[in-house]
Amino acid sequence: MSSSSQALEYLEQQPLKTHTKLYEQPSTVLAIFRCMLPHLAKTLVMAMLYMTGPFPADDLDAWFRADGKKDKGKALTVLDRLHIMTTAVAVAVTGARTTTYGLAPRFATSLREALTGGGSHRSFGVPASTTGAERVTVHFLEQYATKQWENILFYMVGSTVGLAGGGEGVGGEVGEGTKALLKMGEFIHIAGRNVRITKKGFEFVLRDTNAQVWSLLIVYLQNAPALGMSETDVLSFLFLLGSLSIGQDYTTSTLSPTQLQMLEDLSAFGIVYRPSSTSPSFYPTRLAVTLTSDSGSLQQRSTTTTTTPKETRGSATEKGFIIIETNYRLYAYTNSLLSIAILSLFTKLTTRFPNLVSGKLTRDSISRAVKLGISSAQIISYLQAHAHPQMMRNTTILPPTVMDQIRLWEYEGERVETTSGYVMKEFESEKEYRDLVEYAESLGVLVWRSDARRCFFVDQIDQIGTYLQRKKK
Amino acid sequence: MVKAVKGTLVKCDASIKAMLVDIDEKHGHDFIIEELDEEHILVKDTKIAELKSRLQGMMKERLKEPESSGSE
Amino acid sequence: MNAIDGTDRHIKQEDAPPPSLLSIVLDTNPHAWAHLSSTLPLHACISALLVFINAHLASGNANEVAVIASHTHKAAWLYPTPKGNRPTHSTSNGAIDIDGEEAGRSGIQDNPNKYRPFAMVETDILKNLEKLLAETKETHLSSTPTTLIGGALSLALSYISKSTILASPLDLSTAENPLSSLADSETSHTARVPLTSRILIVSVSGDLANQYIPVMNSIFAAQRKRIPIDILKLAGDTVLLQQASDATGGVYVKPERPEGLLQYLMMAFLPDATARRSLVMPSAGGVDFRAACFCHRKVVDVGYVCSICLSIFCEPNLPDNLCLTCGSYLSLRNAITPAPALIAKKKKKKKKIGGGTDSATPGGTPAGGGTPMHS
Repeated sequence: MSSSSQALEYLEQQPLKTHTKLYEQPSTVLAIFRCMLPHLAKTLVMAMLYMTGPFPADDLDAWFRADGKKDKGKALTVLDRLHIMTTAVAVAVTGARTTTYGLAPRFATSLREALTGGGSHRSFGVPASTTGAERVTVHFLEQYATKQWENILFYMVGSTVGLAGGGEGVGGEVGEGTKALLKMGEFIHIAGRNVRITKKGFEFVLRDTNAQVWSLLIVYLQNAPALGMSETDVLSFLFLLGSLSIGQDYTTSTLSPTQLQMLEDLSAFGIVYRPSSTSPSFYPTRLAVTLTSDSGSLQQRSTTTTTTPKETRGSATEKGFIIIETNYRLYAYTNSLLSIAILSLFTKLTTRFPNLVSGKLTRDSISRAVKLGISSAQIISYLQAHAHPQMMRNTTILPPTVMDQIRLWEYEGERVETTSGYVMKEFESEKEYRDLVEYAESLGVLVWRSDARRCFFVDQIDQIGTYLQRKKK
Repeated sequence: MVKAVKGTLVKCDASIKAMLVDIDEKHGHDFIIEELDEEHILVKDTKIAELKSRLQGMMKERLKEPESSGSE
Repeated sequence: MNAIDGTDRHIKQEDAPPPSLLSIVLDTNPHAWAHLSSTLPLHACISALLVFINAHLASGNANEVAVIASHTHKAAWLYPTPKGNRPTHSTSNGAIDIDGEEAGRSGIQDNPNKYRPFAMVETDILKNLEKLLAETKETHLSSTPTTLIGGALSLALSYISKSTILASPLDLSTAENPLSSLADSETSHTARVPLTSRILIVSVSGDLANQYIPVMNSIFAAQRKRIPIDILKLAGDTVLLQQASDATGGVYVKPERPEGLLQYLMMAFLPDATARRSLVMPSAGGVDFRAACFCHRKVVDVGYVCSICLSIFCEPNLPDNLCLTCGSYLSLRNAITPAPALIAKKKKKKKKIGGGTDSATPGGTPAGGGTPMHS
């Protein structure tokens, strides 16, 4: 699951009121546009942004190719759920009904302001005017973010696999607030002094950094009201962070009390850096500026790993250190406790040397991981992302036998798939059935259909209900 | 008139389906709402967890897979 | 507990569209813009273009843009600013050289109403355009009424080619030896992030036939690299650019009302290759495929073609009977044949029958000897 889709899911659940409030900030609107919307939805929004009148549905249909109908439906659904697009039905004197689309006015205004740089919203962060020696370097920010984030990961993983304490650079102290947050998000389970990682926690650890940050922030968001913070305030601040640039410091004087409170929490995660807790300025780190871009700019993409890309490239974890042989033996040239801990989630590690650990992938170790909620795809992608340069030269990075076997081991425990939803049946006519099933398909909610029995299964029914009602009229 | 029935769609292969139907029969048809086709059945939302655990038990009992030797 | 349920295990992967590089060739021909000043002055076009560029950058996180001005006497970079002019300023989003910031940044930084990457692109484009216009002398203008679209196109193509190589992440083994990566770039197996590129030509000049050869070569290069060339024709009309968009599968729009430029840009030119797959894009419609001759740069209906290099000439009188392009000896005058004479039907028929019997006779005497005997 990509990181932005998590955030999108969260955002979709918000009510109209929250959306309207959010869309007041151009930076928020731009961030939502940039990283939340499906590609075609972006195209649609842009096409309509400077349109003088509403966009007739017939014209929209004409604009799409026949084979693009499904994607169109998806794009429209997302825009509808986020309340970005409004639909209006006009009835002409002749009785002919025309459907037109339009952008929500608030959203359109903010997006235009964002594109042209107009207005006086000051929502893209006000730079502080620190000069000279007080400035911190980008390199320092990278290290700071990496250290903070690895601490959190190690706190989660280390205790479970019995490597707690005894830090070699990692394993430093994690703040109480962060611990509480991890617990609230059900990433860890605390019983007395024992910390145990949960299924969700495993998924969390194996994701790429950006997705991890979002997962944690979404938990933070969900608990914001309980801490007396306004959710919209928190959200728009996160989106603001995503549009800042690294290496620049920003003043805290324009922030709301909620946002000031957030700064403290975020600096504990390593998302922002503050020279001191009373400092009038803050620096966003790489974790912050990549919030609203899936994988950062091009240069960073080549080194997507659990640690922050770039700058830290020289360290051992960055280069790729895992070698797997066709007989399932695994050698990892690392002394990072975090890497060892992660590897031990799905590997039977046997020996550890100063710069090397070795072990084996076994049916037991993989199915144990699978039971904990780690998928074979996650394991394979982790191994591929961290494969040793020698392995990278192979046609398929991992030996195909090993990849297949990991998948087969997973499949052994995967016999059913369940989807909750509704069966639609007892249609009066073939035509009625066809019409509705095609509508469901265009919405992207259709899970299963049987033309012979004239029934189908959908995982969401709201829009179908309104569609049926509208048709009845 | 169109009818919507709430439930959980279970997708599985034919052999698993047979086992699920078997479980359903032995427990007074308490789980399955409808058998949709060879690979899909509709199950009551409230009963899905129980059905899964029963299926797991049944699989453990019936499909004793040879333990792959962990040695090298 | 959920050991038998595989529902949540499939990672739902959304295939994000590949990053897209948009190279804009802006025709800055002062002669043509002077004509347009009543409906769409240059500054209005630039501001619409800047909004369009921002929209493009916003449409994908890794999207890039390049802007080239095709002026009367030279083709010049508007964005990114060439390295020589600005030693310490990285072109990629967000990665700014901290040490060399003082001069370039101060103007951009103080605007909290604008997204940083947008501001950077805008400042660069405006600065470079201003410089270009300031450097233009009267002599440049009087020497030619047209614009160097060919040069600008080649610049755009070479930039795209360079970016495509840079965009593909090379694994470490090849990074150590960049030459080997170039050598096997065609067969390389590493998963590369493809960069989809397209060129947009905002054209205002009319007759471009004098650059037929360089532009045509660029078109073929673009066709080979699968780079669509989109044409926004604000004024004038050229066969050449129609052919360019048609040959490369690009969009061709000639707005009826240039004032509404921004809407045309947003609707017709913003969708990238991914979005275009599901949209109906406007194209040139009836394309005039006539070529321009190499001797007088005239568009010709029927012409003469060099048999060696395929150059086209509008008249047979070449100096010294040598091809202007490759220098081969050509006597085009001999090629002028009178209208082909009609052969009498009867005669033709007779010949045919004779030929037919000859081939049908198995092991017959040689045809040459056979015919006289019959007569």
